[in-house]
Amino acid sequence: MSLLRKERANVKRLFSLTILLVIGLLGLFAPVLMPHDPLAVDISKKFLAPSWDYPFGTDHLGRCVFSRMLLAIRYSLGSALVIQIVAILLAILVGAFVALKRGIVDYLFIRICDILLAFPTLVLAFGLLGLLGPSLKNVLIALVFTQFIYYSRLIRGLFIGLNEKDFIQAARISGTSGIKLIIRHYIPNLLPPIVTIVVLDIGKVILEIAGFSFIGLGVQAPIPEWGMMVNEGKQYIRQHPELMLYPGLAIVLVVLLLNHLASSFKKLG
Amino acid sequence: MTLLEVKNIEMQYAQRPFMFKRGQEAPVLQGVTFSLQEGECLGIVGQSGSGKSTLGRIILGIERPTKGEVLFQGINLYETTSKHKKIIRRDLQAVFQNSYHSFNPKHTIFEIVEEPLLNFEQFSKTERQHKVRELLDCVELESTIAQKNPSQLSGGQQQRVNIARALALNPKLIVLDEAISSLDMILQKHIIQLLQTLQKDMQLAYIFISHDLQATRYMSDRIVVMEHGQLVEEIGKDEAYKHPASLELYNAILPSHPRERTKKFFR
Repeated sequence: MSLLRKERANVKRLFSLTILLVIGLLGLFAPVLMPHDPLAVDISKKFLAPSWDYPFGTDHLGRCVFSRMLLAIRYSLGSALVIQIVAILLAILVGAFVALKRGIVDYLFIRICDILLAFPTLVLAFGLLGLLGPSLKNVLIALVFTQFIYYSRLIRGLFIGLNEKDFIQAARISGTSGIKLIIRHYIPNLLPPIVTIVVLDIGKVILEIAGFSFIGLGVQAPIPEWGMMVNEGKQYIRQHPELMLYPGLAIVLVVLLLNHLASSFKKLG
Repeated sequence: MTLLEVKNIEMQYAQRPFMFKRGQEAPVLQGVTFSLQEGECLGIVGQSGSGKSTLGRIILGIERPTKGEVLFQGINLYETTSKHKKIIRRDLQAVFQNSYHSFNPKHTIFEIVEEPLLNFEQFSKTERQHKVRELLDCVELESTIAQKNPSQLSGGQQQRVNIARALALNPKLIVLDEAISSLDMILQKHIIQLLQTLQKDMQLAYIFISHDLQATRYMSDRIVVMEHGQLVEEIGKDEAYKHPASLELYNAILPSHPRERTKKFFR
């Protein structure tokens, strides 16, 4: 790894991390920063053009688009973050367990994973949502489940790769076992690939949440969410394309930044 | 007193773990039986693939044999409660061939040597620091290297750190699996001398696994020779090799003064 490439990856990481952090903070402090109540309907003010009072204008129900965009960060980025963290933690638990146990448990686990992974994640999530019914909570459950299957298989593979390493054997001989072995030896050595894949997939999950909301299976009105807002804006695409543009661009920006960040992690190794 | 008894060990790797079992592979180990006294050094020699290392791993309790039993101080390694196993673990340590790969690359030397202490002793941080310094001193290393990473050490230093870690719990037996094979001649000599002093001071028993007949002969009280997973010969310190497999190994030793042979050739 040349110094220059490392430096460039560093700059790249800093750049995307800063912007994502700003977006995250905007979402976190949305209640304070919002100029108007994002749910307050006022038909007399519908389709207002951007002004100092309404920075992004208003939508078909006269709600402040800017306030809605800010609050939506919580539902899009926030829930994607929650999904990823819950899924990877569960996956580390299960993946580590089967990788250390091996034998029949591992065998059955792999077969079940194979069957479930044969479906595209979106189809699997659709099936689950069909069973559970549309709501934000159920979208979270469905996506945690699909991500979890994918990750636990990945983690199992990474762990098995280390199983036969001399330093793991040496640690076992030193008397380290179970959870201590995982925390002290496996995780620190697997952190770069795990972090890369988790960050990379946040973007994917945001797209999936937005997709579900767009077709009406996810977040229910009147709660703002980017996919949901695109859906609401699509009826007025000829007269007021900006209503679709704001949330659409926000999704593109965040997903691109996340990909950027993940690729810088990969290069840093 | 007998420290370790290995009885009729057989080891076979199955092709598949569970369903669709195909034909079994040829056994890696077959009917291996020997015993080891306290404070003794037993050499195990053999060609690559003769099952030396597998045997070492079975003795260490990392790999379960297909058949047979390993008795350490009269307790069967593979049929004990986890509490007993923990007691055995204290007395049974190892040093591997590839010293660098035996270290977690993310840890410092201090963390590496401290690990067994964390698992078995109720030491405070200062006590551990003191003990680690003592152990490093034991293997003739300066205590300043404790804060370094394994990659900053030379091969000889790394192997010394490995030995220090193995000594941390005052074990009764150390399995040296090709422990000196990757070092140069001078370092080999230093490490062997170090191992011998430690053996005297701490009443250690060694199992010295190697393909190097000379080093093994120098270290061991007794030597067993392995071929195709079986013990074919057992000889004392000063006895000569008789079995064809042993002789083959013996004849493969390069002469210390090759030029003399060229002279003979021209005569």
